[in-house]
Amino acid sequence: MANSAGYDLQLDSVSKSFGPVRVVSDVSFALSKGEFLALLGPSGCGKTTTLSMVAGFERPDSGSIAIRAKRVEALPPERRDIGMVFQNYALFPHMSVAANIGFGLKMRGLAKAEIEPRVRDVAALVKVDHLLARQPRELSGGQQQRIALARALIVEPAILLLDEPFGALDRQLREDLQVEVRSLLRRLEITTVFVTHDQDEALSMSDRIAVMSGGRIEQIASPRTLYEAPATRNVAAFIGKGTFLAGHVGGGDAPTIKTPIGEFRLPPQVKAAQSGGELDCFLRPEGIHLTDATGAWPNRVAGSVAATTFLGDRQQIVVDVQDSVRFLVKVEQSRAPRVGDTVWLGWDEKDAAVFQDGQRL
Amino acid sequence: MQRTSALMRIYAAAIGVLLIFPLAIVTAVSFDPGAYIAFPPSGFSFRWYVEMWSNETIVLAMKNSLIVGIASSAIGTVIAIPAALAIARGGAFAEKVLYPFLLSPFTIPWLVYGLALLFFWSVTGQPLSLGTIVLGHTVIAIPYVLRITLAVLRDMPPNYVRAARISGANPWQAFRYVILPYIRSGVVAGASFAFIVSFTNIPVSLFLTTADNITLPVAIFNYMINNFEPMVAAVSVVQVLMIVVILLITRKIGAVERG
Repeated sequence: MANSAGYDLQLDSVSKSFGPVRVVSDVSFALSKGEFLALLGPSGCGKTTTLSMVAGFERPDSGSIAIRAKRVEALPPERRDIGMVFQNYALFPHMSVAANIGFGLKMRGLAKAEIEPRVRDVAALVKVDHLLARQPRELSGGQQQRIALARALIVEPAILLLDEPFGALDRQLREDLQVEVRSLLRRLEITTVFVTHDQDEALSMSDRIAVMSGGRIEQIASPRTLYEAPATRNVAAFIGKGTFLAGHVGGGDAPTIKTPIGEFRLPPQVKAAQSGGELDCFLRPEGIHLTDATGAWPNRVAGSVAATTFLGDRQQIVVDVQDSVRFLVKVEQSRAPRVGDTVWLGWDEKDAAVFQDGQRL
Repeated sequence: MQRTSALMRIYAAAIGVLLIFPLAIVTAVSFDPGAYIAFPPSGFSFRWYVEMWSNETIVLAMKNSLIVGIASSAIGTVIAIPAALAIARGGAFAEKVLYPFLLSPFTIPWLVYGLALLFFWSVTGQPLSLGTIVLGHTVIAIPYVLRITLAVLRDMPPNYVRAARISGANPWQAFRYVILPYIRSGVVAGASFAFIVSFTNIPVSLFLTTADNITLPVAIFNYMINNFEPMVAAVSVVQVLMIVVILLITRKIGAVERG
């Protein structure tokens, strides 16, 4: 990443500690114009601190942050050319909607006559132009969210930061706004960093997702790559759902994993060199199939159905095998078993991901 | 409309009587035309309300008290706001040293503080003046403004200031356009408390007043030692009315904007 030209935002080996706790560790990424990146992870993973360092609320202990090729670590927030939408929106309670939206322009010393038309334009963009004379406290969460977005966009920032902006909204509204906000930002080609702990939100909105854990980026990739080819055990566990089989590498020509519920084949890239080591074998629900005692699948196991969940076109079933492993399977409605039934599950080893010490083999 | 329970009515009546009773007595006495305080009053007249304005000491003391009250609460506010900002930010020095230090006037008996100030000014050779009283009252004004301002400030979501800064406000603009409007009602409440404390203060003023810089409570106190005329009651009623006027004005300033 020596060449920083062409990137709207570039972080290089950024680290930050609070006292003895290292909350962000060696974080690097670069965003091209218009790209939408989600920082995804559980609370305490360092995603919010990373965002705060980009915004200028915290200073990194080491590493560099560049916005449009200009180093910003030493600049205060107001000189970084950033727009930001906060969790719970942080609209100024003593100002009208119009004053909230126009705040950034007023701080930049623009005259009232210049501010008013731009406030109207950006308010129309996020569909709050009928609310300009109102006070924020009179408005719904969705409306406040739109106003917060307008306040961030009016200054035409180089990058936009979104800090869990949909968290306080109810489900239907949240999904509608996600679609609307994403298409608006795509149209405006605004480079965006989005912090969330909600994987569905990250998967549906992002060009790329940085999955964070313990202050580090575990993997940064497109939603599809994260789902289909997780680089670490944590990513596999955090993105989507699936089943982990823990065990040891078995001997023999073809690699296998010995687990308390049986011995199963592993994909060929797991070499004999890892023989004897502890492994995690991970299976997505789509890779597991209902079969029977004589089924053709190379790996088979029998268990009893513990629960079923209606998913619309399909049914998700939970199968307990010998009370020690829980398999998640998705089946067609017409083939769905009942709770308590004994079923056979089968899978192809090529659909399994294998992790040793948390890393993908 | 909410129903008020009988118990609540009795409670309110008891508190009301407790608060208003002494004031009612003083007010009744102030209209007594006689030469001595008596209760019940011997008649009704505005005699003492007229005569008090020809008492030079009382008039001077009223003027002085207004100046001292306004000046000390204003200066105290100017000192307390930045201190509150620093303490709310949570630095170790601000929280562990500055905060207890500025609150210490709450813990020192005012009589002792007044005496200490007298010694201090005599050691420094500074003659007592309105200025020395203003300084003394400023010190006791600070904790009132500080406590209330800090309570409001700590209640303010930190994202307000962050939102202001990221939108382009420098630290001063963030204070001027976001923090100050948010804490205004608290600041005004604290400042009006500080004014009342100054306006009614005897223990500190007692040691710092001379014939020239005498304040109203000290003047009333001195007057009562030598006289037993109802004029002192009339002056007291005027003092109460002045405080009421100040409170009405500050309530208007401190009201949160609506609409």
